[in-house]
Amino acid sequence: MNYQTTTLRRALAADYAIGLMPATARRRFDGLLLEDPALRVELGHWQDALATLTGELPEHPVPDHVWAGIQARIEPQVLHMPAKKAFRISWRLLAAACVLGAALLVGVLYPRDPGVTYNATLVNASQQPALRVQAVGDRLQVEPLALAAVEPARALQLWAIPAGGKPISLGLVPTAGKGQIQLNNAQKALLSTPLTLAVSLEPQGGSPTGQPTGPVLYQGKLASL
Amino acid sequence: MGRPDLAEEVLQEAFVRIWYNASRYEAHLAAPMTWMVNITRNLAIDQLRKHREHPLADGQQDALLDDSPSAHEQLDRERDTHALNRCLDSLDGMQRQSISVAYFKGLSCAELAAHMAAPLGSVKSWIRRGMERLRRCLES
Repeated sequence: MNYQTTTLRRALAADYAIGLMPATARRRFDGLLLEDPALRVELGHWQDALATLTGELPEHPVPDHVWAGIQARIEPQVLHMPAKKAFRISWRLLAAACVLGAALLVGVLYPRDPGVTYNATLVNASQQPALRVQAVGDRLQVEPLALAAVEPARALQLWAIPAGGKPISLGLVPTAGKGQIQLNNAQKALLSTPLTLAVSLEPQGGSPTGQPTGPVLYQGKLASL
Repeated sequence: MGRPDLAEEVLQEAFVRIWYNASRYEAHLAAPMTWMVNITRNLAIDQLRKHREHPLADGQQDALLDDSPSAHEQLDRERDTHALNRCLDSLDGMQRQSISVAYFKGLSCAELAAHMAAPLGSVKSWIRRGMERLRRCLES
């Protein structure tokens, strides 16, 4: 279709603004809008004009449980990556100290790392291990084993999927090197329930909707130790 | 939406999308409220259409009678206050009715034709001509 015809552009923008378009047509139009500033201006006129229709509808307060649901989904999940360059030397020292400490602990006190409470190995479609996730206290340690290359404009996002529930974002996965994800109390509590971890391909910065929008590349069950 | 649970679901999804998409808002195109209303409306329309495809059982339908004002009452309430209403008044009855019902009820062209008991072609032409006239009126 030739989207350059003024009549057609106006008619499509009008249909979109009223809400007449079927979902597929609306998404196609959303795509056109992204690349076409003039079309966004055209649509903006209609939306501003039509918005006066809803301007004086009676207001209803948002119920508390809806607010709680919204907050649970937008609470920022910050992924703390070790600042490699600045701490290279101390990092090595620390690593050496850790090895020493771990050897002592493993040999003398504990049969295994005492901090790790849950772990999961996420596999790709052909069941090859791709990512290891370990819960330590209130953090998740994320260690890529064999991740497929990701375009610069994309990101990998880690999700916790409770049995029969909606995915909950845990943060973005570092594509090179180890990283840690700080868990809030709600997420920590989640770990003790049966959980599948999954990684989906998302736009840079993570899913715009708060739910996975791209294909699931890796997944695995979280097991307690 | 006619159902509080669906309205709450849409509201939650809308707020989350607004939060994650805030960087895409362009101030020169639309007022913030317009932008947010549009996101919410699109989600509501999706939800309405999804549920229209799975009609409720008779009992459920009765329990959910919508006592909120009709599209016409909502429109009437706002008469005379805005340029848009002045311009809507200048349209033919069917043009005005098809545009306002579609806007408030989230109907597709085909659903609108069934709702108004009119041929699809007529409904499409009312909308198209009505919006063209509306545009000229708003620009004048």
